[in-house]
Amino acid sequence: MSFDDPEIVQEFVEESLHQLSDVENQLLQIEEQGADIDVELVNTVFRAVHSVKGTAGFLGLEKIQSLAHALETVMNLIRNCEIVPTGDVVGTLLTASDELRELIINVETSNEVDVQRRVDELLGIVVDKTVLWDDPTPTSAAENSDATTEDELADTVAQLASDLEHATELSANQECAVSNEPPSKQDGSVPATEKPSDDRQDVGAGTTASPSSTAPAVASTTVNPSTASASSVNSNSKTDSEKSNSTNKPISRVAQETSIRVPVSTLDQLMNLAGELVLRRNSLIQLTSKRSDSELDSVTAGIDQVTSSLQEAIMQTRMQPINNVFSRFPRVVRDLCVKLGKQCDVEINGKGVEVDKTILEAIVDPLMHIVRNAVDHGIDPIDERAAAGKTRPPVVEISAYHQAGRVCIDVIDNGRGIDPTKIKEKAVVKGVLSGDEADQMSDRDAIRLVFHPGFSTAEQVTDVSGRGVGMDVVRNNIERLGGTVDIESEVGEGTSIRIVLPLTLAIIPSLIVMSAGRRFAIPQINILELVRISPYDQGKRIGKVKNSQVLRLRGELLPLVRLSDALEQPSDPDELDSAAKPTSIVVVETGVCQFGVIVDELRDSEEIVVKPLGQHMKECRSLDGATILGDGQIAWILNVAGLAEKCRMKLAQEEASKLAESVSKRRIDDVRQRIVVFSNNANDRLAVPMDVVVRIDRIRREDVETVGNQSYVRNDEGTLPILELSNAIACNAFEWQSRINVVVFEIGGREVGLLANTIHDITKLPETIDEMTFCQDGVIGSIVENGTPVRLLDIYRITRILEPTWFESRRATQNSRKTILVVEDSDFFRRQVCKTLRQESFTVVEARDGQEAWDLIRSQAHEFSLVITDVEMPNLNGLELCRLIKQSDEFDRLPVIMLTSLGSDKSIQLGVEVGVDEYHVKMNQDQLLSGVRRLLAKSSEQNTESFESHQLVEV
Amino acid sequence: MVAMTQDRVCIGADEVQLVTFYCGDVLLGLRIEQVQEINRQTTVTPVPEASDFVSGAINLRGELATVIDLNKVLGLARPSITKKTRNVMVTQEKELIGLLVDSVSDIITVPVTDLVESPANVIGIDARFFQKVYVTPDNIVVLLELDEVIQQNE
Repeated sequence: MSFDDPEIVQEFVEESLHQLSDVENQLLQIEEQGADIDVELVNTVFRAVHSVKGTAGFLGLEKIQSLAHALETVMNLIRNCEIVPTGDVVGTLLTASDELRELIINVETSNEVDVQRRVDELLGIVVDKTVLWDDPTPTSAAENSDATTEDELADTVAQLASDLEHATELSANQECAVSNEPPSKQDGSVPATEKPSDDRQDVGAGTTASPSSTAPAVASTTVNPSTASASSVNSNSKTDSEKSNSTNKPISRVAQETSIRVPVSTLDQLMNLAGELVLRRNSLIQLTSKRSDSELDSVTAGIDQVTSSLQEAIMQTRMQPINNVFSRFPRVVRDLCVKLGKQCDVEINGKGVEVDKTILEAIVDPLMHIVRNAVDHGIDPIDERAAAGKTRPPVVEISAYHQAGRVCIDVIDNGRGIDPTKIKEKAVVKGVLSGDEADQMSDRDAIRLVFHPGFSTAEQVTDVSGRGVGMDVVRNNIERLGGTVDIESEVGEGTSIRIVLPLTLAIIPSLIVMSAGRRFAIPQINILELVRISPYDQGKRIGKVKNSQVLRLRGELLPLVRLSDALEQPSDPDELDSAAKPTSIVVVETGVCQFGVIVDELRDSEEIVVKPLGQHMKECRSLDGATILGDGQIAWILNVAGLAEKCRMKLAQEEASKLAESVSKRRIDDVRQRIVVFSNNANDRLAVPMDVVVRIDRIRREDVETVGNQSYVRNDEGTLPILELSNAIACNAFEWQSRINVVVFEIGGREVGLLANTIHDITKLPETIDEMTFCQDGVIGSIVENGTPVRLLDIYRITRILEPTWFESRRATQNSRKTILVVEDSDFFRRQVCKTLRQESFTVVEARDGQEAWDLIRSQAHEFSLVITDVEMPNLNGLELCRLIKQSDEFDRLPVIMLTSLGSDKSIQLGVEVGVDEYHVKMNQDQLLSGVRRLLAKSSEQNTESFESHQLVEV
Repeated sequence: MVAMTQDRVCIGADEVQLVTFYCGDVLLGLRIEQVQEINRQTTVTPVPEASDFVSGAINLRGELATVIDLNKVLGLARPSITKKTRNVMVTQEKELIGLLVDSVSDIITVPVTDLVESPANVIGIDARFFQKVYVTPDNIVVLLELDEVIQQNE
């Protein structure tokens, strides 16, 4: 079919699709409300369908028109409360609206499509309804008729005339279907002479009662619309057309004022140009920075600012609310539930979160897959839930939110959850894992196996999901967008999947690195950290496992790849002997693995504009795109996932982690404390336990200010007091550099900083600690690192020395009445804890292992108020000790504090099971003391003794 | 380049204009409307992992363009880049692609009828890269099949 004016048709298509875009959700809402209809909502749908019908009629799109008309007829009955929008009715309406949209999309061929079945279905509803219908109420019409303007009336009447013309031809038996349903209405934009429909049933449903008697009257009134007979006949239709006219027009007017339609290609072009401008600006900035011309500088700064704003504004044009995707899910879930015979609610949060159009389009399929999975595999049938004692109704929660410049999308269901054991079994059956590997694998990692190619968790393959295209495709698609996806699941509790996406694909923050004389960009989203290894340390930190290099990083082994090798770059002749230079390693992660990329040099971090790769570079899996740098040179953007795949990183990492495991098995006590080693001048090396460090800030020298004798750093949140180390312990003066580090601790709920000139390393605390050589207040002891003595600081003691007013004086007498049992096999840690407690005037009894402790407790030689115990100990470990205490009749009220290293979640859980009262990190004395006080206070209360708890004074 | 296209107006309906250039000793030609421009931008950024015949990429006024070494595609010996080396820029499916050639020769106008099916004994180039030739008194211009040259799927 051809049209005289394709532009008008295109406009019709766009406008109609826009009008119909919300119909789906509105219908679902209507269904939800049931008999208690929201007239305005029904009207909205009615209007949308109605205006589609009108324009379609004008353009001679008969099939669209007749389907829209049938839809409209049903909507009208709902609006008049003549039929209840039950699930069946809405189901039919949904299918019909889908087909209507389909017809509009394929407008050229729409007239060749047979819509009779849909129309019949819709009219079937109308016919059914007449059985129920017993109260036609055309009464209000007469009152409203006065208000009706002549024009509207003319339209309506003309409309009616055309309808009646057909109606009179109808056979008598169809009159039973006739109702007070109004004839199709036309608004001003459509000529009053609607094309006669070739579908008689269609028209029949829209006729008024007793057509034969009114037809002549109407025929005459078309000339003179104010004739009373006409208005009395069309009572209802008038009010309807009035409603639709009065509410429709203002809305479209507002829409015209606030937005215009622009082809996406124009936006893309704008985006490209803005990208160019960014590049030119970068060149300009580089140029101006070379000369000292203040006028030029200010102009450049201005251009810089405008360019940034322009870029942002243009980016904004590409941003669309994520609801454009989310809005589909209620329908998807509803349909699925019907199909599967399940029940499930959908909860959508963060509809307004905006994402780049490209990303939005690309995320539809993966997200759809995840949601379908959640309903199909996740949500359990009602009876199953009841059997499992679940009271919450089944729900799939879909949320979007911004986090750290990225968009997170969570899909959470409260269904069955994924059983890691089943996954492992299946993985073994499918040959993905060996039996040994499966045994060693953590539950969390096992659940992540669903992202492995060819993995479907459904017991049976259904036509809903589990069709072989699995979560691995989802993961690939998301990673292609530069995003990540992760899954967590608890059997019986549900599954939660988190997708993290960049805000836009067009401009990405990246780190520029050099490799064999060429520049490459690594997207920041992939970068975990940067590691620089001095030539001196290289032998120690970089090792080899089966021909591949690994990096020792905080006790883990990380596979390494040299970028120039991976990309098979010809070696750069300018490159000097690399042994003399420090090695720069970019630690990157993909969804599945982490590895280190060795590069020749680290350059700046830049916002780069992504240029897609040409057709000849599609096979370059390690490249993701290109960018043009400020100097006009091209830099390739690395595809970290591709690089990993190419170098078979996953395998390498698995090997390395296995090796690391065996290493840690050999040294059972590898849960040692980590320490931060730093120095403030050439001579003194100092260290603090890593676990008490909140963060390390890098600041400029000017940022440190001094008022009186108190130094502090001003930051966003206020001021951070700085501890003057040399005032507390004997050490050399701080050597100021232009940039310094501040190690931040939290003591008594306040942050304090310790200046550190150079941070040397984060390392594990050696087993041997010398407590004698550098013995002084504020120093725990010393260790030897790389042949240099390092003094380990007691940050709490130092704070107390420097800021005694922060601490309230202790009631020594009361504390001394309390006896605490400290159980710890490491002499060093036991002494530390005991010292801390004794400084607080507690009476302390020591035990070397659980058995010794248990014997002491049972002997009742002391009246213990509290037990502080380590976890790992010979003979009887801390958990067993706690179990014995808590299960005994005499001592079950004795509070137990367990000391542990960070990161041992599992032992915390085990501890909770055996009844540990509190957990504290080793060497965090501040927390330990407050915990001790808290527990003692609690047990005092229970013993109805008065005990004054001591808290840090807020200064 | 706009000027070139406009020149076409002056030529007869049964004539075509060819841009001719050398790869080694072989004189090649492209129809002028296929060529966007010719430039001297021969310093390219190598593309890691790309096929052998991809010589690299250049920044052409902010657009990324792939440069293909025409000698390698055609299986000719690769002479080093000289002062005469040029990039013949063509567009295929909106993508800018440069063909690295040894030198540019001329722009000639020839009657369509003079473009003949290639004789079998032609110059040792894979036959799929050309269909027609134009024989001049002292040379032979091989008319390149651009799609074949660019869509190298190895």
